[in-house]
Amino acid sequence: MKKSTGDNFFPKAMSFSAGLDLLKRAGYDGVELWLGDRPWFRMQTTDAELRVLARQVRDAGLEVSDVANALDWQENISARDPAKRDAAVRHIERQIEAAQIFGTDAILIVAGLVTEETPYNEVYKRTLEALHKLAEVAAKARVKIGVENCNSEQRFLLSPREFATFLDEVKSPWVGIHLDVGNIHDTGFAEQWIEIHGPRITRIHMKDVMKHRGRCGEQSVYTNIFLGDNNWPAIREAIRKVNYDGWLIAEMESRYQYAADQQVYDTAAALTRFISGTF
Amino acid sequence: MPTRREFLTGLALAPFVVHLTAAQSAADARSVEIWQEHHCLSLESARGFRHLVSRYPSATSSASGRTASGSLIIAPGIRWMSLSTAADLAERINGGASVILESGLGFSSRTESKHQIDLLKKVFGLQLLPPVKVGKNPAAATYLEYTRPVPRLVRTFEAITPVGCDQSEALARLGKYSVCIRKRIGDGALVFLGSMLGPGIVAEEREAIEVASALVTSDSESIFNSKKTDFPIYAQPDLDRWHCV
Repeated sequence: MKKSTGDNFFPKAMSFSAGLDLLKRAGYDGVELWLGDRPWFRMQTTDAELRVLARQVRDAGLEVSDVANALDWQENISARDPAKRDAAVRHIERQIEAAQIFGTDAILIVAGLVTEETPYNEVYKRTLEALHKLAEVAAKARVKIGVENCNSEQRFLLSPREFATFLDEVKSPWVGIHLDVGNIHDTGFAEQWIEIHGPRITRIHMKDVMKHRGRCGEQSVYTNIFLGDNNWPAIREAIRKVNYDGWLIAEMESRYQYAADQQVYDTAAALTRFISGTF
Repeated sequence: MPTRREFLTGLALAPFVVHLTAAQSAADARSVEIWQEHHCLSLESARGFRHLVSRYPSATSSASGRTASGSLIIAPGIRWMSLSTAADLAERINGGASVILESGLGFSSRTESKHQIDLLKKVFGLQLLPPVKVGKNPAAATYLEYTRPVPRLVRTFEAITPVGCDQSEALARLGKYSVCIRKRIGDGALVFLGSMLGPGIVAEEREAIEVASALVTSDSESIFNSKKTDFPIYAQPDLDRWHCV
């Protein structure tokens, strides 16, 4: 397995090349590039500029593990507003193009957002319809679309079996699951999600979660690997069971308030320890 | 005069017979019988194996006859096997049948377990240890490691029945315990599963289905010829396997 983390994890104000150097020094093998997050990778970034980024990644001794986006929360393929829906399709297609330029075979998307205004059944149908079309684009590009499980935030596809049924209905080997083991708070166990989805897992996001905290036990809070309630030995065994040998991509939500680069090192060390399977 | 339990068990053992064609050889059809007991563990497991057997396109139901040799008998989730049933099974194995005997002892009382352990030793020479609960030790005991007939990790079913064996007989282990073995008896073969596999088939557990498929399509010779393969670590996922959930 290989270690990666997002360019959105670079300490604030750090340049792209300085961030890559930090990742390399910390022991990562790759970087996840986020469309729409940092200034170097936006919708208006040209192909030529993307090729420069790709060269910088190579020169730093790293690979691009996958292409994520920070735009789905504002422009989702399940939106009622056709303009937002079109924008979502456009940025996902751009991710696919960027993945080809970066020489990686996977992208991450958040597909489907259920809200008070946009009900579940609508979101399901619209998301499915959009993914049928995007799957064709992905197939042509030979880039896999990893649909992330953002269970609590999306309020969509909450159980692993429903997620599997959804993927069955998409019915394309080019659409799988980008599994985030920290996002499964109260709706199950990450290791069981891994078992059920097995070969359909495109990439794995790594973070921990402290469940049921706060005065009323109503909060679940993302945290550093090994600090929360995930059963890491079980997750490691499940990964072994399904024979997953792909990228492990750290996604830290809460950040060190000081010495931000230290968190990059600490997270790399945690990933190394996880891969070694010694707990 | 049979006891009430033996009588009821006998009824429940009414054979389910299909003709199974091994994936490797379409011409080599053989019958499959499922000798279930009348309790939920056995019935659940039988449902899994029955579903698995029926997945083979050339499988056809048949109401009649236990063939004397070349047949496969599956005894799922066994807890209450009587001496006469065990003797029947032993005779069939001696005559060339393959038998998959799946232990359902994990939830039995100590007395029931002891009775079955003694019986299986007497009739089949199996050296079983008392069942061990594994559910409380999550990561270390979650998966059984099969090295034959295919290398896979498969979920345990809360308890295992360890079995003593030669290294060459072992199919699967859990830590220091051999849990599944194969054994030549007469002209046939006995596969003993010390952890229930059938419920995993019902639950659509991918690896359980792969192991069970390999077991039911192996004849009494090939199960011995299969090479031990350590669990392969990390091949890239194969796109063709994406839809096997």
